[in-house]
Amino acid sequence: MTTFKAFLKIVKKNLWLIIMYSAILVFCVVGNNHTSTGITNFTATKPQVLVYDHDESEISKNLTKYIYDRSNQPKIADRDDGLDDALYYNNVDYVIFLEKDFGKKVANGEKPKIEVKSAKNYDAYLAETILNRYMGVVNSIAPASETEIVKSAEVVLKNETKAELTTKIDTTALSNLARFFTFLNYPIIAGLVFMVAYTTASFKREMTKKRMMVSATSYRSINSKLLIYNYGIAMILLVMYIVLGLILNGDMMFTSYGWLMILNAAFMSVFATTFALLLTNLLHSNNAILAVVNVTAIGSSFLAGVFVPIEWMPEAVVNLGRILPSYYYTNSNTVLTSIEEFNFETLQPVFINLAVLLGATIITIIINNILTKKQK
Amino acid sequence: MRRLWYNLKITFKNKELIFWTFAFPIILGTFFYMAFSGIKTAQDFEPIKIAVVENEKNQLYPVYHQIIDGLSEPESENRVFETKYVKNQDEVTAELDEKKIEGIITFSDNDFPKLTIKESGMNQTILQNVFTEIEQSIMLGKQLEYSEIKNTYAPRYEYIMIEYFSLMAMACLYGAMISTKALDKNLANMAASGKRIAVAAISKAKIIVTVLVTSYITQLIGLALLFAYLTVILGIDFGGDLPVIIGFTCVAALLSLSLGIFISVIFKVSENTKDGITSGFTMFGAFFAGMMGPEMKYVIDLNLPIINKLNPTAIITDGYYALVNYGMNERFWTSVISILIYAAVLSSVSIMVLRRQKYDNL
Repeated sequence: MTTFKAFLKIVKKNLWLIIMYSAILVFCVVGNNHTSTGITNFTATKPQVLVYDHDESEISKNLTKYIYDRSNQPKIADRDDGLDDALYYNNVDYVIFLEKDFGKKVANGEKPKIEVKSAKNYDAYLAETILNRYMGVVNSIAPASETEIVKSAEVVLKNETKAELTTKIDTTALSNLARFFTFLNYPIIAGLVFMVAYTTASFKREMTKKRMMVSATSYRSINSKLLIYNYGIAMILLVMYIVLGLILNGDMMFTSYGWLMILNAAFMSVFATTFALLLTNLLHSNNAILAVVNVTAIGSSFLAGVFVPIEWMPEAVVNLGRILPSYYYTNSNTVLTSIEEFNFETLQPVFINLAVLLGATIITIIINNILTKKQK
Repeated sequence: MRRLWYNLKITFKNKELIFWTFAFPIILGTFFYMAFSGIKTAQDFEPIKIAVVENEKNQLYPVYHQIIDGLSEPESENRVFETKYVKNQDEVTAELDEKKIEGIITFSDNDFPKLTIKESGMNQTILQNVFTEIEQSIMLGKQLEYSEIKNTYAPRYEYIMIEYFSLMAMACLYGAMISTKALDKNLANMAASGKRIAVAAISKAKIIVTVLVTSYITQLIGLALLFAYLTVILGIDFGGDLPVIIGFTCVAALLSLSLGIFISVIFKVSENTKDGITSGFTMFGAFFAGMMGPEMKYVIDLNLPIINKLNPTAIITDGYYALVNYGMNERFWTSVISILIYAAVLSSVSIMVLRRQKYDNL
């Protein structure tokens, strides 16, 4: 009980760290989540588009409506560089400027030139195909009166190629869930490892160590207690993150996907706790622990595709990431999003990843034991 | 001068301090470079892989075949698809499930084609858009006549540069640890050397000034190393206005100097806890300034601007952003003035507290 009280006292001291990393997790996840419609029909991706209509003619108004029905209109800062800022940060993908007499030129069959600002990303490309399609149709109908062009264009434009989805799962909700668990890698490494390492290191300080050696409690008993407490802390934090996940993802947490991702996070937490114990054997200063934890947390998160999608990274970097347990943790979350039916064959990559995490944990324990033996 | 030299020696002998202020930002910069070096290529448009199930019975099939072939020309600038033709849909269903192809185009005997996709997404939407365009062109009975589109937006730098700006800002503020540690050594409540100084017959003002100058020089050396590493070794382009960038970095370092003094004087806690406060404050600030995803800075700037107006990491990041993208405009000068006001406020509070500080006498 005395050990537990001392342990809790140190944990309490570092609670602010857990709160900070949890806040980062929430901001990251909420900031990147997409609204799930819950439907499994084809839903077109909507780019972020703004139209500045300086003409306000029948055709320009119809074009604006056509574009806005197929895109989102983001809010931008109300200042001179607000638009350029929004384009720079990809908050706006495409901006269309419709000049004065735009409608008149279309009606006369003059095919007016259109000025745009494009962020030159995939969404901007999509926005441009929508604009091109509209202009292609109205230019092909012209010359005619604006009313006639709009009327005829509406008939043609309402025909769209039918798209049928093979998946029966709500992919938006599933990718939000996967994103939550993938981001979890950062608080697990940064928060949990630091908390465990820092707490255990306090018991390894020379004076504390000497006091424990002369106490009636055996060294082995204290060590095993510390181990249990640390894994206990890891599990309490995991439960806390599951509750957070439940708030952010709702019922998705209780699907097979959710349970498997929780299992994956539990394996990662066990590895992280073991890694933290190894750190306390290697490093004796709290500052050094803080340094290593920070580098490991940010480094592994970047290399494992937590902050940047792994498919955007050069192959050499991805291969380098494979030496990190975080890679296998995030990979399981990604693999799970593409599984439709759960069976041994489809889940095999996830089992392999879990085995790698388990293997990494066992190797860390062995190294830890060798080091402890040597230190004696 | 001698005191300055000794202080510099003491500072550079502190391995932990050198790690946080010199090595840590360089390590982070390396991670950023590794993770982001492929982003530009990833954003370039890649042809969408599709499979077309042949059906000669459909009258429209030859028209579609010709158009799809045109859009799949490997050498063409307008290439949209990477297409393969199959006799039966079953041949490619597994490929669709494994996401090796994005869609399957099937033709019934007498209708427009149907698109089968695994899930909704960007490529699937583009695919549906292109086929809709072909369908509408066929309905009109002629080729669509497009308007010329002129793009007038050409940003000087990729948006991922925010990561490097925030890294520079973070490195600036991590420098606060240098002044905190240096000042702590001169405070009677923090170190034995401080007690000796408190009773010694030497000018305290001179000591404090030496400490500040040493800290500032050390910070600038660290920032110069980071900047040289990013620009020379990693090849990150910060723009051509090098003297202004250097000048701005020197101003930003003033803020970290005053932040370090503030933390040293205000918080009556251990040295380690002071380091924790500096790194926690800076890292959290860096997160809001876009270090873990540039979008975060924009979202905060737009929805909760007060946070980033008070966040020194974001103020410095915004200064670099404004300078590199828009030059020395009003926004850049706002950042400079904000930094100076911030530094002045922190320093004034610290001086007031320092002047009132008294220790028990015999």
